[in-house]
This record gives sequence, structure tokens and C-alpha cells, in this order.
Amino acid sequence: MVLLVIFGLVAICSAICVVAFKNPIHSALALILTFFSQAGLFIALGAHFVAAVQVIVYAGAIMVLFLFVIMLLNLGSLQDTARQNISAIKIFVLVLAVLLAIEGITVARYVDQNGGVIKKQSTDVIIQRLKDDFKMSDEDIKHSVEELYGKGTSVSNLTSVQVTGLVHGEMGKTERIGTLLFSKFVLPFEVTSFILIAALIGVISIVNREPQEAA
Amino acid sequence: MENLPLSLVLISSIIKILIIVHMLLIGVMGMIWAERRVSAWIQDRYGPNRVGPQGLLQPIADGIKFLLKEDLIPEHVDKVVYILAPAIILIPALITCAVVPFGSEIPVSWDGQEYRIPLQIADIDIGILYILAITSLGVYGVVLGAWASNNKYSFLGGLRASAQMVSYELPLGLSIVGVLMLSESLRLREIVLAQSSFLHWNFLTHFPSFLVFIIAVFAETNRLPFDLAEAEQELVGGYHTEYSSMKFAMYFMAEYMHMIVGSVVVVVLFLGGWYFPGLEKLVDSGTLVGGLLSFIIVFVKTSFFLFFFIWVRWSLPRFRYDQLMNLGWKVLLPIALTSIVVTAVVWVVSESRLWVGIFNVISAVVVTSVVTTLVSMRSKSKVVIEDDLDIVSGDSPSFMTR
Repeated sequence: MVLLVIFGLVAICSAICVVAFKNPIHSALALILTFFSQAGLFIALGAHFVAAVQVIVYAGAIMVLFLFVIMLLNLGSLQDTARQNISAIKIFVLVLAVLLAIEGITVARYVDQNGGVIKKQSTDVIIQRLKDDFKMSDEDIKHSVEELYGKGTSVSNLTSVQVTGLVHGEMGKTERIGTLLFSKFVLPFEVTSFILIAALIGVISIVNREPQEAA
Repeated sequence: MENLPLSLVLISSIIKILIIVHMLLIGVMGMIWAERRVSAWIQDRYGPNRVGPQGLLQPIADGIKFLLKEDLIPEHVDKVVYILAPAIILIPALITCAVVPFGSEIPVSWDGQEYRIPLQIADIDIGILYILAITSLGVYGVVLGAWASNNKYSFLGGLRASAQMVSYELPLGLSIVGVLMLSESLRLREIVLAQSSFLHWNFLTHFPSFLVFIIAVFAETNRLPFDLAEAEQELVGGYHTEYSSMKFAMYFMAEYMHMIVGSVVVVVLFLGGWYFPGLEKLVDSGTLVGGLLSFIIVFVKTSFFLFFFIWVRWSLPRFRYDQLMNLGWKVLLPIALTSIVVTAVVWVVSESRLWVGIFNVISAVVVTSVVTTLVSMRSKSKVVIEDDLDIVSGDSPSFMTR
């Protein structure tokens, strides 16, 4: 909980810095900090794999290319151009902020009323879902429970809080994410990769145009 | 790990962190000494041999010199980023070693009970992904330092470094996928445990990936033959031209730390970690002797790799920039990608490491020859050099106006 608050505050402050800084390189640095605190948020939620992917993809690859492009174009400080239409932007930002706040409150209330997704169900149903979705055997579940709550704890006498903890722990594991991606979510996964490949081929065909056209 | 009491975990972790960080720092000193002595030996000179026995105290003298020098901050730099950059490059170099296993286990008695402490700071679930994530951040120190210096030579070095590191991260990450598939885990400890007999060492099964990984590690550490970012003959000092005193020393230390961590990771992933033919049982026995021996084995293997780094540096000339990019994108990347497909298919069909190894080598040879043939056919039919020159000489960005 403490981690969530710290990383959340850092994320918000650095996100404000991204738009507040005048020098594009400083903005990019603040954006990197935002990505890091997002990764921190994921870790605080137990999603280590997502955090690692966040750092590798966004902080490690995309932001390096951002910096590269900013440096290559040699963008100076934004002074006059950004000052135009300031009142229109202000109104837009205000409306957007109100909408986002409403959305946030609605989601929080929904989650609160339903007691999260997990609490409502009985222990048996949750264990059954672990077996179905994550393809875990009884042995696996027993092993995980003992790892979390000490030796000798059996699956049948877990409290509902402990079961929630078990599910959260399992969801963060790389192995479970892999199982889900290649069983339950295999279609969306493959479709996404096809879209990426299509984009890749498109880029290559644009870059690879015959040089005489340009001349 | 799960049955250790919390107090023991805390105390042992602190001790391990202290030991490993100090070993890294001392290792850097050792590497500076070794680099100068080995280069001298390769070039048939003596090298530094005046300070202390065999010149062993030379790194300390160097360090004192760096600390006592005036810390110069040039007038025209972006101060915040200029000061931040050396720190940014040192942090990833230091924290990657948090998940690397340096040995098997040593027994400790605590509260009257016997426990086994793994020689590794943290055995986290995402293991190797953590290392990939952190090493991919090393480039920021170089790029930001180069930009903040506000100097054309630094800037060119930074641009080269960023393009190079982004390109070589891909083969670096892809070449280990085959290893992960056969180890069935991302945890570095389990990857080592999967190599418990010599025939299971990953460099035998995944030989092409092994070569790709080593080459990519060289590129990621900015070492010769990939040190275009600091090519002395063209760019004065490259990205650290404007840095002096301890800030320069931090860049220097970070390079050697990256080398050390890179070598340990190569040893853990491909060279069987703490296993050595004939000593497998003793190393895994959980006795004090076994634990220390496992540490020594990792140390020796790593030292060999560090020597290899120096050896290559003083033997090979530097790549040209287009050669570097061609090697990364047209040779290493296809080899890494094919090895993933081949490993997966052959392993499912035959379940034998022998066949995986053989098919990996065959497919790598085939892919390399096909790609090089295609590339040479293309370059004969087209003249692309003029385009490249435009980028360099034409409308170059004005660096000094910010």
C-alpha cells in the first residue's frame, strides 16, 4: 500500500513534468521516470512480469528511440509556439480531467460494491478456476499454498483472504501468464502478433522503395 | 528459500550485497590492472610494473589521481543532465548483479537449526528478464552524457551508441529464448540447475545462440570491436570527451562493471554456472566446501571470459558503422530467430539435446549463407552509398543552438 502511494505520486508528478518542462529532452527524461514508477506500481501489485516488460519495451527501447529522434532533429526549447490557443487547451484539459475523474470514481465504486472479483466466489470455485485457467494440478496448488503460508497448510482450510493472496501470487507468475497466453487467450495473442507483422512488412516495403523514384 | 526465518534472510542478504558490491568494485580495479598488463603482454611490452608488486597497486594510484583532480564542469553544458548522466550509467551496472547466482548453497546454523543459504541476492521469478530490462537502461547514461556535453564529437558518439545498443538488444534477448525453452524457467538458479551434467551445458546445445549472445554482449558493453561510440581516432573521446576527474572515472568503472556482469551472465546461461565435469556431486552437496568450490568455479569461468574480453580488444580492429549495423540486423538477428524456431520444433519432435544441437548449427550455417548471398546480390545491383553520405555531410543539425 505504501509502495502504491509512493509510486503513484512519483508517476503523477513526473507526468506533470513531461508537459511542464520546456526542453524536450527534459520532458523525455520525465517520461522515462513515469514509466519507471508505472513499473513500480506493477511490482507493488505483484505483477513482476508486466513490470519487466514495461521497462524493457517502454523505458529500454521506445524511449531510447524518442531521445534519438529528439536529438537528431535538434528540437530547441518550445517558447512561442506552445503559447498559442492556450485558453482553448485549458478548457479541453478541464473537461478531460472531469471526465477522467468521473470514470475513476465509477470504476472504484463498481469494484468496491462487488468486493473485487475474487471475494464473492467460494474457495472451491476459485481453486477450480486455478486448475482450469492456469492448468495447475493438485500438486502445484499444494506446493504454492505451502510456499505462501508455511508447511502443513492444506488447501481446504484456507481463509478467503488467504485464497485471494494465493490467486494474486499465481497471477503474477510468468509461468501462469504463459499458460494463459497459449491456452485461453491464444486467439487474441496470435491476432496481435499478426497485426504487428503486418505493420513490420508495411514499414519494410515503404523503406525499400526503388531509389530512382526519389531522384 | 521459503523456509528460512526472516531475520536470517535479512542478515544474509545484507552480507551478500556487501560482499558482491565490493567484489564488483575490486573486480573493476583488477580489470584495469589486467587490461593494461595483458595488453602490454600481447604487444610484447612490460606495462605498468612500478607501483606495488607487478604493478598491482596501479589502479589505486589511478583512483587517487581521479579523486584529487579538479572536477571541471564546462560552461556550455546542460548542468543537471551532465551531472546526472555518470550516475545513470553506474546504477544499472551495479544493480544487475542482484539476481545473478554466484554459487550453489552454503550451510549456516541459526537458532540451533541448519539452513542452506543460496549464494545469490534475490532469486526472483522473472530472473533473466530483470537483467535484460536493467541492461537496456545502460544506454541512457551514454546518450544523456553525450547530449548534455553540447559538443559535436560527444553528440556523434551518443547517436552511434544509442543506435548500436538498440540494434544489439534484439539479438541479445532473442538468443536466450532457446535456453529458456529447454530450462523451462526464467530463474537463473534453475537455468544453472538444468545444466548439471556437462552434456547439458547450453553452449553445446545452442552453439549459434551462444556466439550471438557473446557478440551482442560485446556490443552492449561498448567494447572493441564495437566501441564506435568512443572511437578515439574519429571522435576525440566520444561520448565522454567533456568529462573529467571522477565523472570520467564513473564511465570507466561502469564499462568494466558491465563486462564483469556480462561475463557472469554468459557463464550462468551457457557455460554451466557452478558446475564442472566431475565435481557436480560435491558442488551440490550443500556443505561449506561444496559452496565455496562452486563460488570458485564461477569465479574462474568468469575470469576466463574477462580475459577473453581483453584478448579480443587487443586483437581485432574496429568495425565500420555500416558493417556493425549489417552484422546486427542481417546476420545475428536471423540466426537468433531461426534458433528459436529450430529449437522448439526439434525439441518437440525428438526430445533429444543432441539433435537440437546439430540442427541449430546446420540451420545457422544455412541462414548465414542465404542472407549473405542475398545481401551481396542486392548490393551489386544498387548503389546506395550516395544516400548514406547525404545524412552525414548534408544538412547537419546545429548542435550549439539550444
